[in-house]
Amino acid sequence: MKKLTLNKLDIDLFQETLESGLTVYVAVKENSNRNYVALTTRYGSDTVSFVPRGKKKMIDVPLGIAHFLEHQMFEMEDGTNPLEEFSKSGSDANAYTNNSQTCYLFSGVHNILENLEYLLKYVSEPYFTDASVEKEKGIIIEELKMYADMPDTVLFNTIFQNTMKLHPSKHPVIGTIQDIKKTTKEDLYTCYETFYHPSNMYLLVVGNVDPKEVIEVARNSNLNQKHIKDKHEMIQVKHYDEPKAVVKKYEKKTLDIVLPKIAITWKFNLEHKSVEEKKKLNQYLSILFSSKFGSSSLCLENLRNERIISDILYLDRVPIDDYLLYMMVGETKEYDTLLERIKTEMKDITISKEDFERKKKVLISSYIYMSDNVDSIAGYLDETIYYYHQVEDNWYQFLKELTWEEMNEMIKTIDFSHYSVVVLESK
Amino acid sequence: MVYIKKDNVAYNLHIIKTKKFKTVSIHVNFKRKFTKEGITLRNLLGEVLLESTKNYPTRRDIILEKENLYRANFLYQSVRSGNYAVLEFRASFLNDEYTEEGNAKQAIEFLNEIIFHPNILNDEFEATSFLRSKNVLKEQIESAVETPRRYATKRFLEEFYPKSVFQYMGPGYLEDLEEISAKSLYEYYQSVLNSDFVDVFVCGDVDEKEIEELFKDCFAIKTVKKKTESHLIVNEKLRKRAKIVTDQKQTQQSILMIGCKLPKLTDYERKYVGRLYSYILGGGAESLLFQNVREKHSLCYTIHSTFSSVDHNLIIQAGIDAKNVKKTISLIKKSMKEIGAGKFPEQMIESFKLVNQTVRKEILDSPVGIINLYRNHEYVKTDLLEKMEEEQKKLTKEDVMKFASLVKIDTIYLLEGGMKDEEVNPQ
Repeated sequence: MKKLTLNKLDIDLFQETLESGLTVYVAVKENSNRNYVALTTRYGSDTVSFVPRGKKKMIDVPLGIAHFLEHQMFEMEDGTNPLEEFSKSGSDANAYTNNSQTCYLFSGVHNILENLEYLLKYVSEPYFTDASVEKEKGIIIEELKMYADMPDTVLFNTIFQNTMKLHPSKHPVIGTIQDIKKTTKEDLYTCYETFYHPSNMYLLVVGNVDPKEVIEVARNSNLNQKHIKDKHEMIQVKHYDEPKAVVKKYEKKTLDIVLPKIAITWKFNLEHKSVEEKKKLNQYLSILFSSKFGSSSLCLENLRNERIISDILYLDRVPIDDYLLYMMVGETKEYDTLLERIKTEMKDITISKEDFERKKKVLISSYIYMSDNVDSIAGYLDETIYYYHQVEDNWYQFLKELTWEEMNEMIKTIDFSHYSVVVLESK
Repeated sequence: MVYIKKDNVAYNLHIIKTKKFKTVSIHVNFKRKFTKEGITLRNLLGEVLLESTKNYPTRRDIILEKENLYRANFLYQSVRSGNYAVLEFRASFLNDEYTEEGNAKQAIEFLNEIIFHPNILNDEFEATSFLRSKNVLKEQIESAVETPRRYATKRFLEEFYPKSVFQYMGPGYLEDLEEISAKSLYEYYQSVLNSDFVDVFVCGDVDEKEIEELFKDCFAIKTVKKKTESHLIVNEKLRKRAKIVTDQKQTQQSILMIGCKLPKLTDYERKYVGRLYSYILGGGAESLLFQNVREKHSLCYTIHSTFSSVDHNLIIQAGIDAKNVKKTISLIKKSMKEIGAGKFPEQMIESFKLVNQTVRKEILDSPVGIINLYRNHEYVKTDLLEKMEEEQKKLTKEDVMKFASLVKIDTIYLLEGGMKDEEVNPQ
């Protein structure tokens, strides 16, 4: 069991990889009543072409299948419902799927170890029937329609579609109605057997727990014991030669909304950057965009003065394999003017030293705020485990050591020329 | 954790001393009787006070100061609590231990600046910042019903409370917004300071003497004290037959909302039994609605019920396909009847008790949770944690069955979307 202490925070972190390949991370926060537990497989909606475990030939599966599988994992052979099993001890359970992960989680105060044992059991026992798969289709189609009615879903789906050419992240996580309808029990088992192997998964526990006990439960769990003797097998998934350019530079759609929305998405290629460089670039790009367009920026103040925009610009970033997408969304009738102004502002990709130091202070403060809440701690740890395959115990120091000079050097190496614009105009 | 309440004549000061958090949180709450016009006025007031102050004339100045104060947070929230409208200003900031000496004091002074030192010129709010706030609120009002769910909620409330002020909801109304001038809002602001009931909540590692002095020096509240009335809404007349209303809209999913008004309840029913009833009916994966409508008949993705102990009502919401409306309504009615007949697993009462044990513990993990606990105790006489635990233990099956006899459907509202599966295209 490896132990790390998160610098500046009152949190100890323990890490161990079990015989089956399952890695367990336990962050101890002694003064918390709430505990957060999540079992994650490194498998999401982006994986639709791969070589199934034990086979040689690459196959294609329907879009949205990772999400479908997540729904079906709640079917048990004895007819019980895992969500109910958790609520028997007053715990709250849930699951989610994104483009690269499927995660099964619960939170609660009591019976944490028993619930953990149950989590590792139910996720290791797939039970799909033709009837359960058919039944789930109606539910998932209603879920799709619920999202399809939201303007933001239309906006984000269009952004991904127009930014990524070959990579499956161009499709919505949930897939399409046609894909949902054609998904079969056999497809689901194939995906399960390939991606729900413990060596492709990790367990994260945050709260007031004894790390030794947690690791013991994980070691004795069904998920670990079933796969102790498995040979280590690399999963082969399709690689996409995603071009640096975006698919569509500009698209306008009309929708039943009151205020038009505009999104500008930069596509950054980071394939030749080291992990260390990627970590730093993530921070530097955040500082850059937030200084230029955030709520304390001069640019936003001017835009508001001239009534080009009334509120704020939303900033977000999404890493996709070797790419990083950086997006900015505004709501305004003056979207053409807004776009011109953003382009002009981006001609100079430097910021003042004073702005840099203030933003750095904000980053460090955010890190401390994060440590007061188990869910935020879990969110932070999950991101570093997922992307960097390791936990950064000295993030505080890492942030402290960021410099304005280094930022200027690193930002210079980034190509800002690939971006895509989506406008949702009101009917 | 120590709770101290000080009656400072013009306002109550509630101090919750705890060393658990790295932050200090302060909520300053103003309340008065709820009116339709008040919704827009109070939201605009919140916007204006956070847009500009005497010494920080632009929103950028304010946000720069927040960043300088180690990412301190300041925001407002305007909500209805039964018969009362509550305008709440919130501040949270890191303890000096994580920043520098004097930072916390400065943050409190800045909260004082925001609430008590607005940007006033000639007895009215400064024109530019006033107009900017007005535009922000205008856009919020216009886009408030952009998703079908929010549109359905608005329309449902209009039908559910046809002759009552409770049909109105945030963020406001355009016709009211137009009427508000920089001068009339300033007059309203002064009346808020002079006649609203004020409660100040402070949670964190603070010295109560110091806090008391600090507030005495800077909080210029001159409320003439009178007795506050009950927040509880009493439903005068109850319908015998449900009213049925259908609207049509070009959406992919249909939204069904069912509202039940309850007669005057006993304190025990209101505080405990109602919530248990709602938990069994539509609280989670175990609930009858989830089981009957989603799991057995695959008719929806979301379905749930919410009980309001202050408003004396119970509301059910489901996202469904237009062709399944009749079937869904009959399954909902059937589920309600089943509770009345005691046809539900008694285990659910136990899990409700356990879920609440968890909730009570988790409240203590968050400063906002702790403040809300004492706020609700002050406003609507909810019990504090120990009493809650004792009272909840007493809940029985008979309580639930008796409560079920009081729940009668008042309004059935359907927002009918007309698209077929082939037409649904989230992209």
